[in-house]
Amino acid sequence: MEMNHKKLVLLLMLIGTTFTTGCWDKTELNEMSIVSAVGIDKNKDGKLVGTFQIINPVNVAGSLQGGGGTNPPISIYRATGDNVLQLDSIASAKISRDMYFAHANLVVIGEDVAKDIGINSILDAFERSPEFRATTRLVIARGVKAKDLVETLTAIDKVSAEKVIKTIESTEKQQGGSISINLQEVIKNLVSSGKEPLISGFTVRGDTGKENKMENTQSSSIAANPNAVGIGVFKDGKLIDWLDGKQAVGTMWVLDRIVNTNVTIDWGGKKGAVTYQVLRQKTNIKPRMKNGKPKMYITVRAEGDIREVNVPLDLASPHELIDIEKELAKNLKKEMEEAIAIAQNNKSDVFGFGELIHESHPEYWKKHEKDWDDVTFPKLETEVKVETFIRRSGLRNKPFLSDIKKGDQ
Amino acid sequence: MKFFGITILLLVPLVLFSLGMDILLGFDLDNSIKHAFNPFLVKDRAELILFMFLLIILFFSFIYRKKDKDNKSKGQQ
Amino acid sequence: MEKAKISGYQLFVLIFLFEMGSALLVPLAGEAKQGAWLVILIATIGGILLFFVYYGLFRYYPNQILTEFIRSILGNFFGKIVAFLYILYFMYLAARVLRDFGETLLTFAYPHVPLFFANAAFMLVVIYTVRKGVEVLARTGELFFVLENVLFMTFILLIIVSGMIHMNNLKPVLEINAVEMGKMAFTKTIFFPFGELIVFLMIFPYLNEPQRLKKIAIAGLATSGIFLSFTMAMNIAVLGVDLTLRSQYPLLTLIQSIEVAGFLERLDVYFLLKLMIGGFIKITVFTYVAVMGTANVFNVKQSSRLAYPVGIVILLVSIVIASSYSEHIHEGLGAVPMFIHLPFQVIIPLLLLIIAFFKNRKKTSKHQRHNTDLKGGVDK
Repeated sequence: MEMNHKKLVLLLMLIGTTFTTGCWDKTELNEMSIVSAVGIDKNKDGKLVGTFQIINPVNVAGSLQGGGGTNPPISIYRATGDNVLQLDSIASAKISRDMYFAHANLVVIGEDVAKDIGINSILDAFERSPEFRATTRLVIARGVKAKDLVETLTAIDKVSAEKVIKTIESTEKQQGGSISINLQEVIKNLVSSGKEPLISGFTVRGDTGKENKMENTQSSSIAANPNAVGIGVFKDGKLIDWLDGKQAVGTMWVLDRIVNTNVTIDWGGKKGAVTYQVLRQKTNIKPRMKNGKPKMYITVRAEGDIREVNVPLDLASPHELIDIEKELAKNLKKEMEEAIAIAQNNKSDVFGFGELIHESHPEYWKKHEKDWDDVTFPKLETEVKVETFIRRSGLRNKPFLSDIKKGDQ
Repeated sequence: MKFFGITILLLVPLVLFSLGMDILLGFDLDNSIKHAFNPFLVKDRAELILFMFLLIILFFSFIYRKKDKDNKSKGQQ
Repeated sequence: MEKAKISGYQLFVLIFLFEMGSALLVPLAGEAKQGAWLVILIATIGGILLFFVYYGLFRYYPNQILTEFIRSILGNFFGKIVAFLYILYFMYLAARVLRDFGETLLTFAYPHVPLFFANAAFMLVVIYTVRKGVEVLARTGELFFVLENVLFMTFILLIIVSGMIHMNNLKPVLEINAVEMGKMAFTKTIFFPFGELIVFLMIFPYLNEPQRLKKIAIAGLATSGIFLSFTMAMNIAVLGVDLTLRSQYPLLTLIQSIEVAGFLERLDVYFLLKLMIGGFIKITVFTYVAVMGTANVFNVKQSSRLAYPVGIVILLVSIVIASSYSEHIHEGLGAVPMFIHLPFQVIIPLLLLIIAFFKNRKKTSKHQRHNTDLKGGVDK
C-alpha cells in the first residue's frame, strides 16, 4: 500500500513535468522574424501605412565580422490598414515567419500622422500588446515619412533602429537637444492633465532616395544619414510645434534632463568667446501661492568647466571667474525663460507645472484643472534663478591669445 | 562623545579658516560663504550615497569606540 | 606617541617624497621665469637654514613630538592652544594637498567624476595607512621611492634622447634681477615646499639613530631641492617660459610632448602614477601628524581610532576650501604663504626656540646632561 502510494505520486510528478515546459505557446527561432522598428505613416485616403523593419540576422553578424556586408542587414515590409493591429496582420501575409515584437525598441510616427490623426489612437495597440516593451522609444519623423527613416541603411550601427535610439540618447546626454522618451512615459503624460508629452524629431538628411540601397553605406560619407532634429510639442495628443536648438535645450533645462551641454557666451565684444561645459546640474521647481495665484520658482544650479576661450582672459583669477559665472547664468536664464514663453504661447504645459501644483495645492488644482492648458498655464507666473559654478579650466590657465603681443595680431 | 567633540572642534575652525582665506583674497563675506558651500549643492546620486555612507560610518565610529574602550580597559585589568 | 622606530634611510625617503609631493605639480617659482631653477636652489638653502631652527628645538626635546614639547615650553594652557593651532595647520595643508591631487586627476583624466568622489577614494586609502602607523608609512615610502626614481630617470632619459631640450630657453637667467629672486625665494618658495618640513618635528623622535638626524634631513632637503630645480629647468628648457607659465601642470605638458622612436609617446599615465605617489605620501604624512597631535593634545590613548574622524574632516575641508581650481591656486599662492606658512613655519618656531633656550639655560647644566644622555639612548 505504502509502495503504491509512492509510485502514484512519482507518476503524477512525471506527468506534471510535461506541462511545466509550456510548449503550448512555443515559437522556434527559425519560425519568427525579429522586428526592430515600426514606422507609422498616413496615405492620401487617411489610412495608416505601417513599415516594419525586420532584422536579417545573418547579414548583421556577417557585416560585423567584415566578411559579409553585400546584403542589407534589414528587410522592410509594408502594410496598409485602418488601425495598428490590421497593419500587423496584413504585413504577416507577406512574411514567411511570425513577426516577433519583443525586440522592437523603436516606433517612428510620421509627422502628418502626429499632426492630423494624433498619437492617441495609435499607441493603444502598442501598450496593450504583451510582446511590445514599455521601454520602446518613440520618435517623430520630421519632414520625411516614417518609412524613410525605417528603411535607411546605416553604417556603424547596422540596424537603423539602434542608430536612431543611440543618437537620441547621446544627443540628450551631450547637448540636451533631444529627448529620449519611451512609450510608457508618453502615455503617462498624455493621460495627465498637468503635463503634455514631448517627443524627439528625427529626419533623413542628404541624398535621399538611395537610403534603402546598400550603396548608401558604401561610401565614407554616408549619402543619406538619419539626424536628430528638435523636439516635437504635443497638445491633446497632436503635434503642434517644433522646438529647435536653444529652445529645445532651454526646455530640457527646465525639465531637469540636462546631463552635459555646452553654454557659449560672448565676452569682450567677441561672439562665442567662452565655452562652458556643464558637467552636472540640478533643477528644482517649487510652486508657491501668491495672492491666490500660483507662481513657479525654478532654481537651477550647474557646475562645469571652461573648455574654450578665444579672448585674452586670465582664468587664474577667481574674480574674473565670478563675472563669467554671472554672464553664464544670465545666458541660461534667458534661454529657459524663452522656452517657458514658447510653451505658454503653445498653451501646452510640457514642463508638468500642472502636476506640481496638483501635488502641492490640490484644492487650487481642482478648480483649475479643466482650463489649465488653455487659460491658467499661459498666464502662469514664473521666476527663474540660475547659479553656475566654474570648477576647472582644463590644462591651461590663460589662453595663449593673451601671450600674443599686440604687434603680432 | 569625546570623539564627536574633537571632530567638531577640528571641523569648525578649519571651515572658518578657509572662509578667512577667501576674505583675505578680497571676496566679501557673502561670496566666500557661497564659495565654501556651493561645491555641496550640485550632487550626483552616487556622490550623495557615498557622502551619507561616510557620515554614517563616522557616526557609528563614535559609538563603537566607547564600547571598545570599555572592553579594552576591562580586558587589561 | 607610538612605540615605533624608523631607520635613517626611511626618514630620508619620506622627506624626499614629501618635498617632491605637490611641488612637482605646479610651476614652482614660475614668476622668476628663466631663473626659476635658481630661485628654487636659493630657497633650498633657506629651507636648510630653517631646518636648523627645527633641529634646535629637536635637540632640546629629542623624545617629544612637536605638540608635546610646545606644552613643555609654553606651559600646559598656552601650549595646548598653540599645539591645537598646529593641528589645524597640518589638517589645512592636508586638505589643500588633497584638493590639489583631486583637481589634477579630474582635469586630466576623469572630468565627469565628482570631486568629492575622487577625494574620498584617496582619503580612505590614506586613513587606512594612518591607522597602520608610521612604520608602515615609512616602508610604503621606501617602496615608492624606487618606483618614483625609476620613473624620473626614465623621463629624463627620454627627454634628452628626444632632443627637445633647448638650452637657449633658459637664457637670460637673470630675467628678473637678483634682489627680486632672493625676495621670491624667501617669501614664497621657501615656505612651499621646504618649510613644510616642520611636520617632521612630529616624526623625528621615531628615528632610531637621532645623532644622524642632521645629516639625513639636510640630505633629504638638498636632494629634493636639486630634483625640483632640475625639473623646473627642464620644463622651461623644453616648453619655454610662456607655455610653462600658462600650464596648470607644466610637468604634464612636458611629458605629453615626449615623442621618441615613433612609439614612446603619450606617457601621461606615468605622470598620474608619479602624481599619486607623491600626493599619497604627502597627504598621509600630514594626516598622520594631525592624528598624532590630536591624540596628544586631547589625551586619546588609542590614536589610530582618530584616523577616521580626522580623515573625514580633512576630506570635507578639501571640498570647502574653494569653489574652483583657480580660487584654490590663487589662495595657495596669494594668501597661504604670508598668512599661514610664515607664522607657523618661521615665527612660532623661532619664538619657541628662544623661550626654550632661556628655559633650559636657567635649569643649569643638569638638564643639559640629561638631554645628552637621552640623545644617544632609546626613548621609552
